[in-house]
Amino acid sequence: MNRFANQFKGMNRLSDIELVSGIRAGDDAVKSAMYLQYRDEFVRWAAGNMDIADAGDALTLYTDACVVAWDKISDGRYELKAGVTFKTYLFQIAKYMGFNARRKRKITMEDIERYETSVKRNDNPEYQAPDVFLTGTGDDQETVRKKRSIVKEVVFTGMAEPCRSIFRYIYYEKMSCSMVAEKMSYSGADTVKAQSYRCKRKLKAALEERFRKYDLI
Amino acid sequence: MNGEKGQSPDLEMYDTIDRYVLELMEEDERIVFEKAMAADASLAEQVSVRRMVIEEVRRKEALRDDFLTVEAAHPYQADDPADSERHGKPDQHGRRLPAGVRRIMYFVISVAAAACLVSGIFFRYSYVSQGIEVGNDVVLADVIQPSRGDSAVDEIRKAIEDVRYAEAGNLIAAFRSVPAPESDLSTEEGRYLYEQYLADCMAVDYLEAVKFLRQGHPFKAKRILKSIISCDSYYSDQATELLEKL
Repeated sequence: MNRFANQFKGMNRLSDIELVSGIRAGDDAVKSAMYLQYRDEFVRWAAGNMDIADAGDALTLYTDACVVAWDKISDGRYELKAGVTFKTYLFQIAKYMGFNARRKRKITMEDIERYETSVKRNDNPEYQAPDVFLTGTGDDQETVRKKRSIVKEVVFTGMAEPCRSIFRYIYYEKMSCSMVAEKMSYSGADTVKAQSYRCKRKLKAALEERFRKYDLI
Repeated sequence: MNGEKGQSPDLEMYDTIDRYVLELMEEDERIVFEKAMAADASLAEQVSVRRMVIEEVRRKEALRDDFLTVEAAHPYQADDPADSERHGKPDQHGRRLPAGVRRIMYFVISVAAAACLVSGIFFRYSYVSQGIEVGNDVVLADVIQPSRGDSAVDEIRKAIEDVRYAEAGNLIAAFRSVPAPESDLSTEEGRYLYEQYLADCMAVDYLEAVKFLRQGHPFKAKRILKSIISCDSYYSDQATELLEKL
């Protein structure tokens, strides 16, 4: 029996154009097809090319990559390019995310404090540190759009654990700090608050870095 | 996440903004906070970006849940035999060749095998032809002198020269089936007959080799010729000459 057909239960393999069109239209059927179409192949590929032997880890990475790919295509931040298939694009996203996770690219709290101190310019009381979140009346719609785009990029892909999980539980699943503490095996709600605070500062630092890079502040 | 005594101002501000965006404030607190936002553009913008972040987290996590639902409905099966059959057994690092690469690999192997087969046929044909030509160039009467009477060796030689190879083969088999004649080696006549018998055996070996060459069986001929050389037969020089021509 054709296992591929069994997986899709009657759905045909979609072409790149069909995938992108369906994603832009927000078609849930395409969501399912897109996920299943490359999943098995990715797990094997990850084992051979990213040294991810555990299928569960590979699936987690694959799911995250699907989220990013879907998100980018649905809001027009990605267009099909000649010579680059959808599969290649998807696998590259996963590879990048996996690579970043392995590098354990973290902004330490010391780095953040050092950064915040440098921005405050304590030696110049008249200096007003620019507020990166000040999108105010001076910013045009294009600047606002760019900042929102950066927020989209940084949130999810730019955050490492445990911040991603904490944000998910607090903002998406709307858990209390006590519930999050139990879920993540923290000692108590205060620990969750402290960790959440660190995550928010890290996120702010990450956003500021990107805003400065694109001259948005 | 109520504001607590002892918290840093920053943490308190983060908490307050979160509580407002997440609609966790009491009514009177919310009104006070909104008045503060109206008076402070910076605060208003912080709230705006915080709202942006939270919306993005929710959106991405919802999307992730959608994919997890698909996974739950069609769970990945690592040990599916069909998967292994389709993609082959993984190597020690768990790698399987993609189907496309395997197809190309099989095609290359098939072409190589076909090329080897064709080459083998071609070389064998040319080798056989060469063997026939070498065998036909041998003048048997010059190598094996005809005896005065019709001996078994003469009959075999004539059969080969007359292209009666099957008959020659039968004669050779008949000759070899006959045991060596009993000779009294203590007498001169006995020794002469024995040496004559040995000479006939060597001649039959050489004739058989030539027969095989002419029949297009160069490998059989080669085996006999090497045997003749290794036994230091009377016909070793002729056998060496034939091998060099092959």
